[in-house]
Amino acid sequence: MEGVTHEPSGTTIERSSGRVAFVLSGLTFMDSSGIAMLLRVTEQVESLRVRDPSVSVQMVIRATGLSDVLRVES
Amino acid sequence: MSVPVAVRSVEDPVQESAAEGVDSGVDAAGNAFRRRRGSLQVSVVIVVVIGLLITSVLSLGALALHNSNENRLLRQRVREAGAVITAAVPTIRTPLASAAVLAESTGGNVKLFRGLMEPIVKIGSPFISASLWSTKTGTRRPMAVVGSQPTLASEPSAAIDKVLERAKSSSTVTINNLLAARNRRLGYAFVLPSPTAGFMVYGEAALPRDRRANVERNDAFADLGYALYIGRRADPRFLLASSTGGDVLHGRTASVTVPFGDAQLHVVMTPHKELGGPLLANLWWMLALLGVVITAGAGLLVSRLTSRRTDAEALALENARLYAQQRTVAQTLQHSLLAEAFPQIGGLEFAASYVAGVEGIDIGGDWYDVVRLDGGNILLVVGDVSGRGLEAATMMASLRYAARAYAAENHPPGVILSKLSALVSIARDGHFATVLCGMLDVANGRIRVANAGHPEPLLIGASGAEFIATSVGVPVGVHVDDPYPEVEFAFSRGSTLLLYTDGAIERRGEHLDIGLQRLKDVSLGAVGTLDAILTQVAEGVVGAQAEDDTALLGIRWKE
Repeated sequence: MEGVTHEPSGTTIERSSGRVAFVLSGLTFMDSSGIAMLLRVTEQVESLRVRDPSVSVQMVIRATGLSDVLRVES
Repeated sequence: MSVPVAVRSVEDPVQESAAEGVDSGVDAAGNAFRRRRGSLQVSVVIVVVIGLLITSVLSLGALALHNSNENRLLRQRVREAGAVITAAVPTIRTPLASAAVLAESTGGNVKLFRGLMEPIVKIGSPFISASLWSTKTGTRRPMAVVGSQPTLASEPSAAIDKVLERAKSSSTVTINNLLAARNRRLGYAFVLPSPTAGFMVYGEAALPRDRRANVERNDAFADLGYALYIGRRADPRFLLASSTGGDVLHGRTASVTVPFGDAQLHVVMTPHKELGGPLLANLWWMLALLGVVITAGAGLLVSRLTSRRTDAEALALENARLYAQQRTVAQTLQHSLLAEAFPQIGGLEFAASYVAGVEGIDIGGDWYDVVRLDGGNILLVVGDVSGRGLEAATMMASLRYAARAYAAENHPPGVILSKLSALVSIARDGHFATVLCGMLDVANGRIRVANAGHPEPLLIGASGAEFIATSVGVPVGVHVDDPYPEVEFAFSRGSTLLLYTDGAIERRGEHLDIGLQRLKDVSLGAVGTLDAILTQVAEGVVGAQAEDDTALLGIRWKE
């Protein structure tokens, strides 16, 4: 995982002028490697949104204090 | 399988039992390996046996087929020969019958008889001698002779009478066996089948002196040896002629008996070469050879494949051993990084547990730390670097020792975390870390906690177990923030504080709430020393297939 960027399976990325939305509707579980990947993208783009995350993924984002960084939208 | 490495409040030696467990597993597999070797021979033997069996069956089948085919063809040829011989009978009968008719109707005119017979006898076939006799009993000499003298004339009177009688009573040609005579002849006698017949026409054919009569090269029967007997059986006394001069009773033979005048001719034939052609004749041993070659090839292939598989299994075994070895090394390393003595402080009890995740041969990024600071405060840290491997371990070490350094400079937990966050960055280092940092003020019995994205600690007291509500900041490495907000709570006698990493509450496919509740329940139910409690908690919350590492740190203030 380290040094290699890959999308967690079940996700798609939409790009438009530096604003990135991760559609995570297909993702049921995300561990620290997944969060790390999202965070690395956050560093490189204007804004990042997480669209339609599952309840589990939402809880992980909230528990890790990243609700303001990985903004959730439905 | 996770190998719990529990750390007590005094140093203890690196656990050897883990390594032993690995080796005994490898030994058991080694025995299995030796058994496989034996089965290599057995399977090759089986393949070879089956191959040879099939080959024999096919080969013998081809041989049997060939034999039956040859016999069939030979019988066919023999029947043909019999038919040829039968077709030859008229060539004997016709001239005799014609001469008999002539004789009866001309009253035995010798001149006419001669005229009829001379051309035939001149050819020499079918007779070399033709004679006209009177049928009166007592006749001793022929009336006329064409060609060579008939042997019959020199026979005793009884013999002549016998022939006359037989010819008179037979409607076909009477065969006179003169094989015993000096010049080996066969006599053919014919009398018209009329009660008043007065004449017998008699011809004699010469049989080869050496009894040998070779068939011409382009004859239909050139590829066969034959023996011709008079009578029904292959009696050597009655051998008329043969291709060899003697019997041909050896090897493959077939025979047929055909009527010949009032006698029989017995033909025995033997093939000089394979009637069915060389292919079928040789097929049996060609099949045998092919079968043996294929069987040998199959045996070799099976042996090769089996030994390849054995090799592959041996390789897999070796790999498993090396893997287990490296895992043990990684765990020993992890253990050594974390196994430092807890501070000895009156009234306080410390314990920790580290459970490695499945699959992990790489060192993980979880850590815990308890440091006694000048002034009597205790620094409590638990952290979790994302991912695994050398980079994660390096960041973990940096953060761990940096935290101790910042704490030694008397910074509060919130400031420590913000300084740690300035130390690393996810963009540059590729990892982040969740960290919970606490400061225990022993004198006042209070703990201040700051939280960088880490699960909240569990406080177990007389009234039960509750998670401490903290203000959860972003993980270390995400932003450089102002000091992280702090929360303060009372830590009284008899209570236990449990710090942990997310391996204790997180399971794939499960809501976080369930994991949190489980930790709570197991912690409440655990009894005994702090060590025992942590062991029970570790066993109770870490899943059998947990991929993530789990670190537990417990602090108890004794009653």
